[in-house]
This record gives sequence, structure tokens and C-alpha cells, in this order.
Amino acid sequence: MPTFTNNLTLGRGRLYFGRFPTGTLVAPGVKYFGNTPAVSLNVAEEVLEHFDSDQGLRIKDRVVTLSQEMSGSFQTDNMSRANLALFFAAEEGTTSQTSAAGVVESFSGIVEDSYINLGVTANRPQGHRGLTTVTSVVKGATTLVAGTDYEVDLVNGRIWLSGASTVISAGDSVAVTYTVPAAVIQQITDLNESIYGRLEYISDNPVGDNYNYIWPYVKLTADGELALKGDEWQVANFNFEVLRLSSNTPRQIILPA
Amino acid sequence: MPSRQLDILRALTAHLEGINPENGYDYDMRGRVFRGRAEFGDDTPLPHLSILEAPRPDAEPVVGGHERAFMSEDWTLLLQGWVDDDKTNPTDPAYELKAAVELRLSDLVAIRVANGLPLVPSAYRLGNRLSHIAIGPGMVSPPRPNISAKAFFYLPIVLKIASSPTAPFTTP
Repeated sequence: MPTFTNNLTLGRGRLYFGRFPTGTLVAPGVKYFGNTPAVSLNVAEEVLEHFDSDQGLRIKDRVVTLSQEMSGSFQTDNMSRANLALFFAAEEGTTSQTSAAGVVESFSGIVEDSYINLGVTANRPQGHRGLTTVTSVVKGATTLVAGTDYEVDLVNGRIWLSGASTVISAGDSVAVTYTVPAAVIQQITDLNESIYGRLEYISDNPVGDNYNYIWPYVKLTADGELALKGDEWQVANFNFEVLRLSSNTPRQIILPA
Repeated sequence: MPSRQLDILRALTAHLEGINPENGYDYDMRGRVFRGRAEFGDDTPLPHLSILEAPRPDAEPVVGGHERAFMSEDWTLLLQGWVDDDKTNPTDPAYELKAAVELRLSDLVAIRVANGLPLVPSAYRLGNRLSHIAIGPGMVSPPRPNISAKAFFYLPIVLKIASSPTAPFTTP
């Protein structure tokens, strides 16, 4: 690729983020964000102006900068677990599921043509996942017929109760017997904390000089909506505020790549 | 020194000739990738590829610099490949060769998801000759009277390149 006069540049580069563990200001490492179709910076100043008002037109004769804020935004279409966790200021984690055979769970006041989730508790709202088998579904002394009265979704740990069943009706009670395998399930859960970290932009321009940007301390926040459905590639938008880590740490360092 | 566009075409030709058993492909395209050749006789062994240019230039290049003399343009090329027909399902081999070409072209843009670095550094952006490449979608056709006696495929690729009439040749 040519290097033109005036250092004309076509911007490309990769974004890396290192999240500060809670209570610290040091990132144990920075991870590649994935593809980021757009990255941009913004610098805003608040100024105090002074005007000479003694004669004729008011003429501005002084401008003083009161404050300066640096921020940025970017978009990623890498909808990874790590990026989803950042978007929701949440935490990647795991939950353990203990194996249990012959679990009997009762449900009252059922609704026809609806799913019932197995194993739901206040501490486990997602219920059991990846069931081994559903042994039986009974209403009183009557055993329901799989495929006719109900259908099983083992992966999501739920049962669909058919409205076409001649055995069950709205308001009935049923008991489900099933087996849960031991499993470690990955999940993303609320953290309810602000996300701080170190952000790096490694330039890889096809045309023009490369400059890397390092922001030692940023606050990362989600920006706008996350379209769960659509005919476009799903994207997550982020904003970041550039903060000063300490009195002797620059907010931003630009380095030739 | 070659013009910038010819340099890109030669590099693309060399890259496509990397479709050969040494790189894990079922085809051997060494010596079978041509530039600007639309007609082939029976003496040209199958399969083969030709790199052609789309008939229309980019109507809206992004211009910049002094006198707006520098531009980032989309350069659309058409890769056409011919194969020996499968007698029962004539286009099956064309789909296979088209997939091999797509896979080879993906070297130009593929990155390692873990760290964002090029998966094939030597091929990335065709040796940094390109800003970007968009591959496909293409189409496959059975033999057609008066068009081709063999099954073939078309695969458009859009190369985003920086160019200027003031610098049409590669830097020596």
C-alpha cells in the first residue's frame, strides 16, 4: 500500500481491554475485544469566555479552559461471553449442578399450552439444565403420555403441557419425575458494579502511519440497545470515559506502532 | 516496476496457486490460474481459474488529499473457475472448487480470535496490498450452450485499495 502525502490514513486496528478486578486499579492482562467495526474518540472542553463590552460590539477577548473530558465509543460484533458480561456490567461465572436421580417435583395450577421449568428455586431461577431423562409425568394416579399430553425439552430442562391433552386441564396439578446429571454450567450474572479497566488500541492501518493508543484507566459502559433479533449482524455498542489513574500517569499515551 | 493493480493481480494469482495438495487441498491449481482470460480451448487442462475485472469501476470512491487526487476505491474482480463435470450431478465439482477458492481467499482476512493477529501473516491483506477484501457471494452454473461446455462458477471479490493517478506504480 502506498504512503501518500499528508499521511492520508485508512484507519484499522484492534481493541484490547483489561478489566480491573474489584477494588484494584491494575489489569491482570488485556484481552482482544474481537472485531470492532467502529472506534472513535471525543474530546470536550468546558470554557469560560470573557467579552469586552465597553464599546460597540461585544468582542471576545479571553477564553479559559475550565475542564476537559476525554471519552470514546466503539462497536463490536464479537458477541462473546466476555463481551456480553462487559455490556451488562456482569460477571462470567459457573454454577454447579448436582446429580440427582428420581427427583419428584410437583406443580399446581398448571396452564395448558405452556412450559413448566424444572428445578426452579429462588437461588436457581434458571432451573435444571441438560436433564438426563424425564421418567414420568403424572396427574394423581394417571400417568400422562409423552408426545400426546406433554413434550420434553431436556436441554432447557422443561416440559410443554399440551392443550390438546384430554387428561389435563388448566388448574390441574402434576408431578414430574426426572434425573439431573452433574454439570458445571457457564453463566453470566448481574454484578451491579461499574466496570473499570485498561484499554488499548493497536493500530494496523493499510494506508498511513500507525499510532497505538493506550488509556491506562477507563470506565466502560454499554451504549444503547442490544438487538437480540434482526437481519443485521448483532452488535454491542460501548462508551468509555478516559480517567486519570494517578497524578503522575497520563490519561492517554499515543505511540508509533 | 509493475502497476499497482497488476502487482495485486500477480500476488492474487500466486496466492490462488497455493490451492494445491501441499497446502491440503484436493486440487492442484499451480499453473492453472490466469489473469484476464475469458476463453479457453480444449488444450487447457481442467480445472482452471481466471481472474477477470468487473465491467464497471467504483462509482463512488472515497477521495481525499490535495486536489482530492487520492482515493480509496472498491475494485471488483470476478473469479471464474471451470471444472470437469460430474456426469450425474454436473455442478458438484464446481461447488467443491469454489469452496476451495473461498477457503484460500479467507487467508487474506482471517485473524486469530484469541488475540486479533492475522492467522496467515504472509497472506494477510495480500501482503498489505489491500485495505479490505469482501468475498462473494458467488454462483455455480452447469454447462450451457454457447456459454461454456463445462460447469463453472463465478465468485466476485471486492478489493478495497488505495490509489492515485499520481502513484499508479508500486514503490520500487
